[in-house]
Amino acid sequence: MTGTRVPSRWLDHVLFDLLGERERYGYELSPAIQRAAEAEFGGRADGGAALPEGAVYPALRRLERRGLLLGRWVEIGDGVPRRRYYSLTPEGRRVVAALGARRPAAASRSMAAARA
Amino acid sequence: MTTSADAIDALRAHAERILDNSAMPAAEREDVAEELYGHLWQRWQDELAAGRDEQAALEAAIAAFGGPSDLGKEMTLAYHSRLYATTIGVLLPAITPSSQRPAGYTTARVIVGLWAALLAVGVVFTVPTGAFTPIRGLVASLVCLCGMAMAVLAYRALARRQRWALVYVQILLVALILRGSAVLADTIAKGGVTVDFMALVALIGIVTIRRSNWKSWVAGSRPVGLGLAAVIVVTVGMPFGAPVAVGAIPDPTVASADDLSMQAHVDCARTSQGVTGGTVTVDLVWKRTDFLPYGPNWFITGIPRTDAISLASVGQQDYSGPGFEFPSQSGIAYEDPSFVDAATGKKADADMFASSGNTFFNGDRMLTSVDPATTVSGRTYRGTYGFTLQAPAPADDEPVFRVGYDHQSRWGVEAIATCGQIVTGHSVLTPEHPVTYLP
Repeated sequence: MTGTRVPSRWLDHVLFDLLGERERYGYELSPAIQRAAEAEFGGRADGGAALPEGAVYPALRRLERRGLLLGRWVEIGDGVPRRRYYSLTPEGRRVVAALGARRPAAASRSMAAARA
Repeated sequence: MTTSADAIDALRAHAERILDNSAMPAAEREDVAEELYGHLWQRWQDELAAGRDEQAALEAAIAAFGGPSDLGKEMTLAYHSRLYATTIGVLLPAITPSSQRPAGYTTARVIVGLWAALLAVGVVFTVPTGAFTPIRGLVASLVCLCGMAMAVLAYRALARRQRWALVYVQILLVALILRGSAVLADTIAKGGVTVDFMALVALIGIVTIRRSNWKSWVAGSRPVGLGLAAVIVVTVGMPFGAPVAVGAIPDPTVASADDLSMQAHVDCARTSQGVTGGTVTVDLVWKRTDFLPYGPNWFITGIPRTDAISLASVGQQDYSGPGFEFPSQSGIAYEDPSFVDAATGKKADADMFASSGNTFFNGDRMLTSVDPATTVSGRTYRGTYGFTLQAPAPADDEPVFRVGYDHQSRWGVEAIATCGQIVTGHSVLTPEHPVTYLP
């Protein structure tokens, strides 16, 4: 689990989908992941998000260490902290392709929400 | 652009607190902290842009990001996930092209698989074959079970790129080669050559693995700590040491060497030229006779359902310790031995062994068979062995005999005596010179 009620496997699938489209950085991924999580798991009783925004970083780092994602720092300038962009590696793309039919239906539903 | 030193410090402190709650490599901490801070900073900016004051924006950014405890745990798992037992983790080895695997990958897995299979055989057959007494057999079986479980885990972990599995393989290969070397050296010393199959396979494996680039294969896995390394060494080493070590475990469930008392007496006949012959007398008394049943030993190995008394000439008086001295006399002729109830004279020999000749040299043995099931505890049973020297032995070169009692090579009692001596036998964990059963 990712600190709340969201399975890490689900988050991996969503990240694969989002990063399969294009390179993104953590903060940029956050709103789409939030939408997907709320669509799939609902919000918390206290009105908070289903998934804390920071939960994306352990997942990104884990997948990067597994060689499935590649991270690179991009300088922004003007006092803005630099950003770490992530993309799928060739091995990551093979995993996404291999997952194909095994992909949980939940991940597909979530992605529709994420893209909304 | 709105900035506030206090707010920025608070954001950085939150990122640090998350990492304080994690166990991640120090080398990557600064990098991750910067990434987390970048997120918090941007969120804070967005909150400010939405019209919140600095303090409210700060609190909102931190609240949305998540607490240090949960995120710290997640970060720890990101760096120290073990088997990564998710769909993706399971698929990883399957989709890794064989060309990307280290050259020794298959060899390593075959060796670990073979080792696991051998230990599985040990688990299943150690107890029922009666190779040990029940308690010892159970311990040996559990040792094999632990070793097998670790081997199976290592077999699977190799495919999942786990560093500990690579360490396991390396230690196993070294252990197999060491054992093979010991076996080879021992057999060469005895005039033969035995090459251990697993050692040969291990030798091939270690050469192959050394040439391979395993570092990149296991780069993403957790480093092997001292504790885990110790577990690996123990689980690899235990099956090698168990056969010897379990012999020292007391087993009250059955009679043992401590329940058999032996007294050997060598009575020599002399002329002016020296000892010409005599009698070796062996008295045996069992305190209890619930010896371990022979069980399937009989069917599997053909070992007769009997114990054996072996009598060996171990040289003359210059004999000074274990092992055989070279003989200074050519041979000893003996009369057919007898083994009877000392009080009644009733025969107690099971007649299982044939004599190989009427002369034995140093290192040869005369064997007498004893069936513990037909003996009664508390009574004295006596083996008598008459002998005649082919040439008289002078006083400084009188014959020395070893009397050994062997219970199915599980345990033994042994006494070494020369002319005029009465010697009490002592237990030996494994008979020094196991009886060779005649067909």
